[in-house]
Amino acid sequence: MNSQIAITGIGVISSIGDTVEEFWERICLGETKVRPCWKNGNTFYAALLENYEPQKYLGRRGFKYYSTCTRYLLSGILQAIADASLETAGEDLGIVTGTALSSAEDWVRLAKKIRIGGYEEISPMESYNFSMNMPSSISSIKTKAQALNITLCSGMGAGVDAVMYAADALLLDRAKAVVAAGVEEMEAFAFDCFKNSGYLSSYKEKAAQPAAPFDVLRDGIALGEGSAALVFEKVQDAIDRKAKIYGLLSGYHCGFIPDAGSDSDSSDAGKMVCIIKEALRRASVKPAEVDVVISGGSGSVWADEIEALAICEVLGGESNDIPVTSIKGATGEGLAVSGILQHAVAALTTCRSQIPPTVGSDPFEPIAGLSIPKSTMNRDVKIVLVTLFCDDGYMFASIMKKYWSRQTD
Amino acid sequence: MKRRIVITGIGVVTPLGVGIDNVMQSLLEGCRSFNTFPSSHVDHQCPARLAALVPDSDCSLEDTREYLTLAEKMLKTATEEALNEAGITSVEKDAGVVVGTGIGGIEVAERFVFNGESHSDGCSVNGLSAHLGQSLASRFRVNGTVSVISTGCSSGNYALARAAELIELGREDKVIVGGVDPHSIIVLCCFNRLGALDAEGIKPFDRERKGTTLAEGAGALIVEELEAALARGAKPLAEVLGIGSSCDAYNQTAPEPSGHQIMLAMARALAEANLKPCEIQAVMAHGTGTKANDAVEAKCIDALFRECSVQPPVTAIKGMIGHSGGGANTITLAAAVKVMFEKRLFPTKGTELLDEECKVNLVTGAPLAIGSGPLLVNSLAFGGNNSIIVLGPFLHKGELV
Repeated sequence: MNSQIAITGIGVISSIGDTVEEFWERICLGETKVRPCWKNGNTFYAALLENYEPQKYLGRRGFKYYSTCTRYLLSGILQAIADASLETAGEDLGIVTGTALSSAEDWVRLAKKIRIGGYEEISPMESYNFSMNMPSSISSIKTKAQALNITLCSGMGAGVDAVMYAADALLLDRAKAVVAAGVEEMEAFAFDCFKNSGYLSSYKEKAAQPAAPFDVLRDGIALGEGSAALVFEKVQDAIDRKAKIYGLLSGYHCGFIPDAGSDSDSSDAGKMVCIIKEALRRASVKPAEVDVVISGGSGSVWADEIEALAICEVLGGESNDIPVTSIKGATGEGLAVSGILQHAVAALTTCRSQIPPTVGSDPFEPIAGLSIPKSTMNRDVKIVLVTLFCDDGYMFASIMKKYWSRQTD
Repeated sequence: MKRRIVITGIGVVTPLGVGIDNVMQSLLEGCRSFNTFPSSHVDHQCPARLAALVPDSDCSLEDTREYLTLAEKMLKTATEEALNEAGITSVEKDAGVVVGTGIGGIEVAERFVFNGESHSDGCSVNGLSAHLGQSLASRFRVNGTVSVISTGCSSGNYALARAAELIELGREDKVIVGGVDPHSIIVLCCFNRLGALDAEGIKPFDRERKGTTLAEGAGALIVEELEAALARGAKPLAEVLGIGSSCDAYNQTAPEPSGHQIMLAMARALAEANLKPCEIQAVMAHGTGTKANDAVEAKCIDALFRECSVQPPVTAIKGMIGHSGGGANTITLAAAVKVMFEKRLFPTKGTELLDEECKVNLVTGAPLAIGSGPLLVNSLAFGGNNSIIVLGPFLHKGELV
C-alpha cells in the first residue's frame, strides 16, 4: 500500500451507544447489550437497538417509507460526515456500504404484504425496497455523494470488504473522501437463518455466556444490529483541510477458505496466518511492533479457535503479552457493522490510548493462552492489528497506525 | 489502466439458452423468448406477468448439497462454461471471485414466507446473497478475494470493474466475475406497483414503450492480467480498455433528467481507454424499455457522439432476453465479446417505431456488420448507479489476435 488512509470521521448507531463518545465510554466500562429476545417463537440472545428514534438523526419527516436498514445506515453516515466536518460532496464523495443480510428483512415484509393482498398491498413508495442497494442509494441521495455508491453483500466479511473497497477507491483517485459503512437489521428471518446454520449461542448450561469471545466454554454467537460508518480520506488531503485524524489505515489483505467449517482442519489457521502476515508486510510492520489486536472473536466455536491460533502463531504464541480484545461480547456479532466497528475501535484505541476489555464470562478461561483484557487498559498504542476470521470462510487482517500530529510537519 | 486486463473465458445462462455460442446464434436470428410468469397464488392479480425465464432443465447441476438456489445453479453453470473456455480446470489459488447481483438471495425469503420453509436447508445463511460468491469460490476452490456487489441492475458492470481494480492494484491476477438474478414474485409485484412493466413485452427506445420485461439469467467472465494469462497459455478473447462510473444521487428509481452523471461515466470510461467517441464501433445500450431511462440514455448517447460524422450503431439485448437485473450486464458483456469476434451486431427486438425523442442509431430487423474495434457497454441502475465499460478486441503488439 503506497498511501495511508486517514480515518477522519466515525458514526455509530449501536445497541451500546449511538454516538462515538457514548459507545466508547460503555465499551471501556465493559457493558454489554446482549440480552434474551423473542423471535418467531424462539428465545435468542442478541444485542438489538432498543430505543432507536429516526427523528433524532434524520429530522422530523421524510423517512416514513425508508426501510429500517436505510434509517440505520443514513443515521450512521450522517453522524460520520458531521464528525469529520466534511464539506466534500458531489463528485468528490463516495459511499461504500457493507451488509451481510442486505434487504432480507425487507423481502420478508414485502412478501408478507403480497401474501395478504397481492401487489396492491405494497405502497409505491416502498416498492423499490426489494433492491439490495437501496439503503446505500438513498444515503447517496441524501448526502449528494456522486463519486461512487456501492453495496457489498459479501457475507460476514461485508464490512471489512467495504473498508477495502473504500480505501482502494481513494488509492485509485475515484474520490476525495469515501464513507465506508456497515448496516444490519436483525429480525425473525435472520435469526432463523443463523439458527438453522448452527451459528447461534444457545446459552445452555455448558456455555460460558451468550457471545463469549475466545472463552473455552463459548457455544456460538449472539447477533447484533445497527450501523457504523467511517470517513476515509488520503492523509495529505485530511491534513490539508486540518481534519481531526483518528488513525491511519496502513495495509490490509483478505482471503477465503472454500467449504469453510465443513471439512476444516488446523491448516485453516495457517491460511489465516498468511493473511495476517501479508497485511503486516503491506503496512511495513513487524509482528513485534503490534501493540494490540482488535479481533473478530465472536464466541463462534470454530472461527474463534482458528483466529486465536493464527494470532498466537504470528505474534509469538502463548508467551506473548500483546492484548487481544473483541467488542462482540458487548455489541453482539453485527456482521458488516462489526467489521466497521473493529476499525473504529482500532482508530480510537490509538488516539485515546485505551484498550477496551472483552466482555465475557467470569471466571474466564481463554483459548490458546490469549492475553484477553477483562478491564480497560491504559497504554500508548502505536500499531493495531485488526483481524477477522468468519464462520463463512472470510479472512481479513489490517493494520491501523497511530496518527502523530507532527506528521503535518 | 496501467496493467492490461483481458477476458479469457465467457459463459451465459439466458432465457434463449445456455452457452454463449447458442445464445449468440439466437441473438443474431432475433429470437425473443418471453413467456408468462409461473402461476402463483399470490401474484395472479398482477396486470403484467410476461417474463423471460430460463427453462429448468438448462441449469441442472449435480452438487453435494441438498439444496441450491436457482441463482446458484445459473451462476455455476455459466462459470463452468467460462472456465472451460479459458482452459482452466482448477483455479486453486491466486484468484478471486466477484459476483454482481441485484436480488441474489431473494428466493430464500420467498420460500420462508410463501412456503413456510423456516427449517429447511433453503432457509439458512447458505441461501443468502453472500453465498453466491462463497459457493462459487468453494466449488472452484478459490482462496483470494470473494466479494458480492449489489448496485441494482448495473451490478454486473460493477463486478467487472471491481475485478479490474483488484488486478490493477496487484491484489489478484485472475478473477471470476459473475452476474446473476433469478425470477422473483416479490420483484414482479414491486415492478407492477411501480408501473414499470410492459404487459406486451419490452420495446427499447420505442415510441410506445411502457416498461421492461423481467427476466432471469447469469453470465460469467474470466478476467486476467495479460501477462499472467499469456504465461499460462491462455488466449485472450477481449480486453477491458476503460471503466467509468458515477452516481446520480438523485432519485431511488428515476434517472437524473439531464444525464450529467451518465455522461461523466461515459467520458471517464473513454478517457481511461484513451479513445475518442468516434473510435467506438457500437453501443450495447442498457435499454430497459422504461420511458424515463431510455429517454435519458438516448440523450446521453446522442450527446456523446454528436461530433462524430455518424453515430455508431446501438443495440439493446433486453429486447430479446428481458431484464435479468444483476445478470443483465454480465450477459451483455459476454455477448459484446462475441459481437467483436463475429463483427456483427445483433438487432433489437420489440422496437417497431423509434421514439423521436430517442436519437439513437438503433439496429432493428437484421444483424448489422460492424468494423473491428471497441464497444461501449452501458449500465444504469436504480439509485442512479452508472457504470460504463469499454471493451476492445485483443491486440497483441498492435495486431488483432
